[in-house]
Amino acid sequence: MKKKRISPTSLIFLILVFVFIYAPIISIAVFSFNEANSLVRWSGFTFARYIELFTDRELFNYSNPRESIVFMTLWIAAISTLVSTILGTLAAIALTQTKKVIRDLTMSVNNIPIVSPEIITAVSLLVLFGALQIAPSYNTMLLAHIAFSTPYVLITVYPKVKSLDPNIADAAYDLGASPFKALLKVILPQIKVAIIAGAAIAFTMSFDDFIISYFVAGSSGDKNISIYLYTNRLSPKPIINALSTIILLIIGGKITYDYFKTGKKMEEIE
Amino acid sequence: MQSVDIKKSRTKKKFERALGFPYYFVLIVLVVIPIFLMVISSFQLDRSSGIFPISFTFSHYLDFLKATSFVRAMTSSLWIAAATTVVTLIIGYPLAYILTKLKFRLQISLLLLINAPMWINMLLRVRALEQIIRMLFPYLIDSVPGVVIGLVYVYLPFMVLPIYAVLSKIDTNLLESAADLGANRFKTILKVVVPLSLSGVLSGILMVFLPAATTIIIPQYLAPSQNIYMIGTLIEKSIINNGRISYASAVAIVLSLVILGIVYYIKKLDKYKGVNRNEKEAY
Repeated sequence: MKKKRISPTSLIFLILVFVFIYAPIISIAVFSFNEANSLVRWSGFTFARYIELFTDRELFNYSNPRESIVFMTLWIAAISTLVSTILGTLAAIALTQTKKVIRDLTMSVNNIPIVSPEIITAVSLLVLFGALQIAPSYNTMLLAHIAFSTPYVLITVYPKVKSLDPNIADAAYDLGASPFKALLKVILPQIKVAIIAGAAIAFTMSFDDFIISYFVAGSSGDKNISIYLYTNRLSPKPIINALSTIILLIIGGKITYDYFKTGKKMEEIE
Repeated sequence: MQSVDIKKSRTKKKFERALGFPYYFVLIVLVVIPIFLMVISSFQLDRSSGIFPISFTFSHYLDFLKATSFVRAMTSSLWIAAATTVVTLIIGYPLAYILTKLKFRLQISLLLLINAPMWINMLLRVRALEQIIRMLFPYLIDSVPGVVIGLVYVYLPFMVLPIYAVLSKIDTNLLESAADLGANRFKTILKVVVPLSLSGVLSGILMVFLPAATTIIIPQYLAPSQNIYMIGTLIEKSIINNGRISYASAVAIVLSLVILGIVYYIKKLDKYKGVNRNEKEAY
């Protein structure tokens, strides 16, 4: 094996790319502690933006959560994750047993929301809700989120189900388990990791979604965090930097956690 | 005994097949029917609410030929998306290539760092970039290069990942035999590495071009005076500001057809598919 050494040009290139990727993100976090409203001039350290953020009536309305943007975003993400994870997992199990025609057809339709640009999915769902005379609200947003998250759960879980040894489930049946019990006690535990991965994708997709939410619910005044950020883009409040920083910290924490977990796993393999 | 077993496996199969029904229903109601309705809607006059009463008109499609806003938005979208794709390729290919030359543990860490921003809300990232640009390069605001930088910033990982996936699967024996046969490093890259990574490059191109051409967010943040008019802005305007849902449907359908054409053409370019070992596992 040749010794792997990186040339100075490559190193400079790598550094430049990572500065490009991370400089904006880091600057947002730093300036969220700025005393002045400015994003350019540093005038002193303060937590004031964070206090303003948590007392903002539009984002955090503790007495009436239905009016709170942050709470409703989390709520919709939670419900759509729950529903799409259940739907997608069950469908993944079913697809390994069905006829090839149904499987291929389902997979192609399942791919439509994944490959087509969000804006087209958004227009089609808007037309659907318009035709069914369902008024735009958090409900249409929730339905739309279920529609675009479930396909990702299915393609995450399906390969895992396909790789399962069918003998294990058969053994459960031979030992007298009912189909439901076999599903609950034998199949689901084996695909747990894939289900959690699918659920994580579904949650982030819902939490971060802008275009589809904006189209199907934007006209009602029901906002998620993305719609809130977008509609305030021309007069951005300084609390948005504080909100961004909190979201960054949570996601950064999750990614670091994942990294160390996979790192440990890799060491075990080595 | 035998027949009991068969019966059992039949009920099991029936049960497991039935688990898919709820999702089939969701797919039909929330994916298939909306597409049909969008097509029907595109032939409707905009004044009628709901799908009934059904009118029939080609006016929206004919409008495209007359109205300059559509042609202008479409060409600038395709042009800006193409520029974005070229820039992400110029940055992303060497980046993926350098990654494959590093120690495995470092490769994984850096890949994770490249990926990580994709988990962060896109509006937050674009706003962060907008602030930096306003601070350091204010002349880029409201310019095409500024919008392209924004698109590159958001979609670079989509180019790096598929290229890395293919490059890391290339059999190193091939590179050694190229060297043994007298090829220098540059020639090896040109004649061996690049053709073998073509499938990754093509999927990267698709994954960058399509969302870049249909973006709403980036021009709104980086060209707020709206001098750069892309197709996403056109659809957004006609729905949110003017309530012209049928017109927007027609735009979305023409856009889908253009995209399908591009996807078909790019997929056809992929003539080296399946040459690398374990290529299937890469996706």
